[in-house]
Amino acid sequence: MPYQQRLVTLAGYAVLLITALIFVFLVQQSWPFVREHGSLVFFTGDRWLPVSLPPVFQIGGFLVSSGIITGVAIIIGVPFGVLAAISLAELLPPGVSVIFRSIFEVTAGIPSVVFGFLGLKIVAPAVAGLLNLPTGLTGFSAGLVLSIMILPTLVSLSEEALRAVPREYAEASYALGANRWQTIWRVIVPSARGGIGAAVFLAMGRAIGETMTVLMIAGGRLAMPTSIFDPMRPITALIASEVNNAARNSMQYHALFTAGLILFIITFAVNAIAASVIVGKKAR
Amino acid sequence: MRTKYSAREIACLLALFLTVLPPLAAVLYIFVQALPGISFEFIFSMPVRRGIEGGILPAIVGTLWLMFGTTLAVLPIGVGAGIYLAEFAPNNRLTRLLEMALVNLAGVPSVVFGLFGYTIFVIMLGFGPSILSASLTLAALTLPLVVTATRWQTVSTIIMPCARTGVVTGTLLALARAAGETAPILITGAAFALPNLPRSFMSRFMALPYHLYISVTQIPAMPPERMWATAGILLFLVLTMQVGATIWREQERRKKQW
Amino acid sequence: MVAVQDTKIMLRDVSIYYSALHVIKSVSMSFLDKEITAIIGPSGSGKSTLLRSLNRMNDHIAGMRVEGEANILGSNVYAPTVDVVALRRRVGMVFQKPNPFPKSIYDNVAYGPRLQGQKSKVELDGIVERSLTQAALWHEVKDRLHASGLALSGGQQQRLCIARALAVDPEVLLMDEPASALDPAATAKIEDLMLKLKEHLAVVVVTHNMQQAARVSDYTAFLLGGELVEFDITRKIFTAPTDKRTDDYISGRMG
Ligand SMILES: Nc1ncnc2c1ncn2[C@@H]1O[C@H](COP(=O)(O)OP(=O)(O)O)[C@@H](O)[C@H]1O
Ligand SMILES: [Mg+2]
Repeated sequence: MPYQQRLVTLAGYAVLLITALIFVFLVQQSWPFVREHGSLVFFTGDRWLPVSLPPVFQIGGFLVSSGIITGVAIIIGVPFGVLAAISLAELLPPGVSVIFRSIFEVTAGIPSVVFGFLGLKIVAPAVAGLLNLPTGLTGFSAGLVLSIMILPTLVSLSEEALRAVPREYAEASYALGANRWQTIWRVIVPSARGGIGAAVFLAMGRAIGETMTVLMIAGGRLAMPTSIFDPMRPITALIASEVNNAARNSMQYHALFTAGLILFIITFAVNAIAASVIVGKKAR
Repeated sequence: MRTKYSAREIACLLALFLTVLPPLAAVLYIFVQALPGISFEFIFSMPVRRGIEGGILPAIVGTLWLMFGTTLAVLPIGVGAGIYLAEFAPNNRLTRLLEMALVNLAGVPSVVFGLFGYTIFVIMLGFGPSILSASLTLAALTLPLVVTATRWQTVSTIIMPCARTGVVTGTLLALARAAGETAPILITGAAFALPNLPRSFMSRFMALPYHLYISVTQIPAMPPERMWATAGILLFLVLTMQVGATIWREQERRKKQW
Repeated sequence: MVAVQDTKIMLRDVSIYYSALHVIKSVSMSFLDKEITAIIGPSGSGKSTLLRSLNRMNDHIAGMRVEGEANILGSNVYAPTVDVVALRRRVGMVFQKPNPFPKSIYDNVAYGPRLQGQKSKVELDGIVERSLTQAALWHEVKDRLHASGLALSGGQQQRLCIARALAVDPEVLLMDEPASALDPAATAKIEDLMLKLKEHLAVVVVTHNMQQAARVSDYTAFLLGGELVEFDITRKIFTAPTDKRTDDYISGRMG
């Protein structure tokens, strides 16, 4: 093997190594907590009292909050994302599609802290006013902003899936007297549903892992939410807001790493589903 | 060929417009709001009274350091791995595992990268809270971007000249991410207000996104125009690189089509 | 004794262009009901272009232009008032590569009727059974109507596509090299099927397999470089062609 090839091979394995290391360190740093406090109630309870005696660490409320916010983002984002992808792949001339695609690519880079700032200044007050809520800092507001943030992922991957549908299917449909919309809706979209599903899962993973936006506008309440219009604290916000204050190697510190480990496992599972669709398709 | 659209197709196109409108409006709104707060003094002087007066020069400089450090760290591994995947990776289980790792690494939440970077760089390797620790953490986070961009444009036979366009795109995207991420640097060395510019990679640092986050959430006395101005400068920095990456890629794509 | 037969399609001086490329050159011919007309000719001679102009499947190609008169089922198909969707329902098409949708066998066949608003389960069940029977596929698939159409063999897939086209009761069936992707056994089945189908409708088949044209068709048109060299009863074309070029082609002296 020439040395250049050996170098790039090494680099390839480094990617694998880093992914593995993330997992290993999370497990290692979680272990002291898991060993002493590991139990089912960690997942189901909603009491988080890191400085009481004895301290209580339960992340059920945070998990539910993450679920609610992700759910809102997906429910609002997916229909728009799929329709936008249809427009780009099937309706607009290529020259116009390129412009829109570029807009998505560029705005995909807007930092999440900027979305959080805007959410705080504009979306939260608007939600409070329109729905007559005591505060606009709610899971719903966070989900609404997240739905905008996941659109680039949704649109670009769904568009790719639509474009990958063999043109022969569309031909057959037209030959049977279908018009363009019928062909899109009854043949092309159903044929692309695997790829669109993968796009939804990737977007879901992104929404679950999003930190700054939810930290700034979900409201931060520790208790188990009872409605999507409650202030709440998803798991990412918990970690970001407490990790700097937890004394190193304290039980709270290890509990936060355990929360991080759970978060990692959840996003890993969600992404693995998407990846198996994407990688599986390439392998064929 | 002229195209006529049916009612449903028009609804579909409307959805497209509605999806691009919020981010475009957001960008425009921030720039407009930011203008009054931006001045020579704001950009080029040190913060006074915890940033309520004076400028944000250390945050700008800190972010530039982070961008530089991240790029330095991510390029060798990212470009190498991209070329490996495009050129040499055999079609076997290990390669598919690597592909899976790549997709999943791209999906790891940024706050988890923060925990990872804190454990390995700040504590284990003893780099402390510093630009070095934060840059290495951001390098891990941006690795999938660089790998994917490089690999996408690496075409057989002549590796380097073709890989270069991917490297440029990947680098610009990594720079944009390094400038914009907050959660990973929050744990690995960012500070809200520092009286000095960073001296070395071992210094603690201010950074634009972290400064914005603290200004907005924890400094009630912070004048709003200073927040908008900070957001505007951050956004300008990030979007410049995003636009650069997009333009560069489209141009290369066109060149290849001829 | 000569039976009076309907002329389903009548072409008069039809020319087709792709931008500057003159692909079909002033072709005049007609296609009769309850007969199979074969179009033969070397690759690139314009067979597909001619066939696809009959149900306007080339409309979406930028720069495509048709001159002359193509009278199909009583109206000029390239008149601006023609309802293309309605035309395609009456003129069905089967493609070279079997292209069933990635849907169940049932949903493939029911696709056309559903487009026309047919929602009744009973009606659809009937149409599916009738179409699959006409396409000689019913007995092979009746126990797995809800399995994917893609799970069938190539020959079965092509018959499924034929069933799908038949489900909307077309008066003309256009087939573009329908057996060229199939093995000899599956090809034989498709040929048998074509002979049965012509009892109900006009069949136009493009093929560059001359034995196939000789076996199944009643009329044969020989197209060369976009020009209709000869058009006659199949037996005459293959036994006593009048044009030297036809003779060369059928005896294999031409590519
Ligand atoms: N979409 C198109 N645009 C431009 N030229 C085309 C197109 N389709 C076919 N042609 C040209 O028209 C001629 C006839 O093609 P075709 O009808 O496919 O022939 P055949 O089916 O007999 O092989 C060929 O020279 C081909 O290159
Ligand atoms: Mg052809």
